[in-house]
Amino acid sequence: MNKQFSFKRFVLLLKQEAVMNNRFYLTFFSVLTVSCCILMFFAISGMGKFYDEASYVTMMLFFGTIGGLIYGTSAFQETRSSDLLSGYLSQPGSILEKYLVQFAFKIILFFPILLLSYWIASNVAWFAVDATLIKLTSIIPRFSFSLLFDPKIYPVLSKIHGPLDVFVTMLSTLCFAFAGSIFFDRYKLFKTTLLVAGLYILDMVVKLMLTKFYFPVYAKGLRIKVNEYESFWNLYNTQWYHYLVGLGGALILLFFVYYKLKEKEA
Amino acid sequence: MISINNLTFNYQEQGAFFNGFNMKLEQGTITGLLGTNGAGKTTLLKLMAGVLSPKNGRFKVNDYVPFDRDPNFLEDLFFVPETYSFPPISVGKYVSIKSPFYPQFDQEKLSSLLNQFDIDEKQKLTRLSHGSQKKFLIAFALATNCKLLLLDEPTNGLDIPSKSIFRKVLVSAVCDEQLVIISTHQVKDIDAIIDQLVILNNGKLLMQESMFNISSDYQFQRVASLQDVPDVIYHESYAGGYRVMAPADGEETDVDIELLFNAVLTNQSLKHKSNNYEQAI
Repeated sequence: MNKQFSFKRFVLLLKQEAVMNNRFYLTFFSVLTVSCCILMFFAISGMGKFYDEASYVTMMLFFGTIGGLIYGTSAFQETRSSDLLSGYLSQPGSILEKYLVQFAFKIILFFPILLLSYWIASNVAWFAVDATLIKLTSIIPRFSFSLLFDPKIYPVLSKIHGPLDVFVTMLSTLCFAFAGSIFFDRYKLFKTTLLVAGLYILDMVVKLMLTKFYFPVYAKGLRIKVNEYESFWNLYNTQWYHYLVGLGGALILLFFVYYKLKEKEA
Repeated sequence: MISINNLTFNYQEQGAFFNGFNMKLEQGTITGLLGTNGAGKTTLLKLMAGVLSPKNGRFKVNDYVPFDRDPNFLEDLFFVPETYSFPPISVGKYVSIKSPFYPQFDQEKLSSLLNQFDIDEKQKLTRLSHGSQKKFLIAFALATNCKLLLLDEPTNGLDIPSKSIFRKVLVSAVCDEQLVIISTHQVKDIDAIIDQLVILNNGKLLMQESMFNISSDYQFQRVASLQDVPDVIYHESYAGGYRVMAPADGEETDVDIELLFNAVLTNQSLKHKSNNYEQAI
């Protein structure tokens, strides 16, 4: 049998992950749905007519990022204790197979979970507000997946130009969290959150310095000015920057996750 | 089967734990790995299982380098750690998802072992007592029919009848192609089943000898007075007399492993013999 990858072993490892950790996935889905539903209920009822289609995207980005951090750092559960780690490392299966199983469950599976959870939560919240507080039928549409791909809603949002921006933001956060799950031995979520927040602050500081250098007239306090223009492939320069930093960084980390797993000891 | 040459290993921020360590073990034996706390027993088992990486030296198990964690190597090895935890699923479910990873897995053997250990396949693993969890893990390990079984303190947490069953099932379930290494402090639990003894101390191999050779070379007696035995190598007092280790005089006696262990730790001449053995490897 191939020592790097065997499809049969990979399927067995997938099945094992699903059976052994199904309680975690169900709990995550339930908690995400309920918390999303409660927050959306207050957001819709509180904002009333100011809650528009774009608000759905902002909310999804918020839940996708926070949820992604929590979900991503739950990868490689067995590395949390040396008892489990011995069993995990001596479990038949190549490093590549074990890595791909975690990638499938903690990166790929996140998006169907998020979309389904968000669809249920937003519709329940909409019906709940409609039935109890405000008649929403003529004010706010119900959430549907097609809404995410409606280009009309994006120009009103600052810094988000389209669904790809939303996806890239969530994916890069998820990948950073995935990496944090194996790079940190303890307090994985806390340390990863600090790391992501630190990178965000670093990004702001760099932009602030560039603003002061290139646009000294606009630079007052913490104001940041970015000269935005449409670049190649119909993408803005800021989008390219966003994709390069977010996805590029995430891809490099994903590569190192494999080597970290390979060198892991119990 | 296991060949260790000039092994060096240390934990982070510690000096060399194993330094120039050599050992060779062949299949077809049940080997008892003894040592004081911190002697390196668990570390050695983890190195064999590939969950720790040696810093230097040649380390081969079944012709594989353990830390490469080749799947073909891992499917012929089962490591029962001292402490473990299980997912909240039934015994049967656990078996159904884990057993396909082991090509030689014998379901009938497992059912028989679980029956002897009085474990129901429908029970949830997390609801089993610590002792029953350990019994299940041992039964599963034996049913995998892996060439190398590493058992770290397998009798810890087992009640007296279970220890007796453990000894019985181990002897009956292991075949000539297998090597079983049992690391333990509970020498009395394994003295009747092991056929080879390895004694470690501070990362050094003090003794590696077959039980046959030990019983040929030494005799172990309980005597009222030390004058009753000429050439005493080592002795310990107990209520009513002395436990004595002496050179064999033709009459074979049961090996008192605890006495032998203490003798090896304290007796320079025995250490010398073992060191010579190590150098010979």
